Amino acid sequence: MTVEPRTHDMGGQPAGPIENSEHATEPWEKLITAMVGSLRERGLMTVDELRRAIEDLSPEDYEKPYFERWSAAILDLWEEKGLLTRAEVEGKMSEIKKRLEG
Amino acid sequence: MPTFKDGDRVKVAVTYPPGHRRVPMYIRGKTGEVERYCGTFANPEELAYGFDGKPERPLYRVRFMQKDVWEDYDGPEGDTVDLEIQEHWLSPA
Repeated sequence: MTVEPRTHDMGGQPAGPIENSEHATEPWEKLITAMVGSLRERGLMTVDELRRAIEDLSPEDYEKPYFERWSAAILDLWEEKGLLTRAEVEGKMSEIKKRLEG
Repeated sequence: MPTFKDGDRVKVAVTYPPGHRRVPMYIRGKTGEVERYCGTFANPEELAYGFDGKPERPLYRVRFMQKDVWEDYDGPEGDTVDLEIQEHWLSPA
């Protein structure tokens, strides 16, 4: 019997060409990075937990861009730790969106 | 104190514990050589679940021959790949 690697464990699989163009960093991506730093500094999250939560995303979510994976994983960790629920975060997001569309 | 010293032959465990593991599938069961001892570190496999990862465990940089890792490897004979692996994944080979 062969045990298949999980989605993130891709060493040795066919990979295709490397895309090495520069990407502009979006402001929200910088905010997410700052938030991760802040969560770590306050002892609310370790990088190892973030990595684990990213690995635990569904294969579909794992295909998403880098910082979207981070956001999805952070949200899972907040729920796991009882810090914030997905509903609370999404509620705040629509509130802000409405305000900006004002 | 580290169990292995530079140059020791070591084999990576073939186990499939669920959850966050720091040893990729492709290297499990392969034999390599300790390239260097890196010091002791908290176990990231426990840090990943909110534990403190203590006691710290010895970490080694282990060098494998590419041709030992991939059965169809057709690159240069002397090609190697290095992985940093904690002691609990290694046994003497």
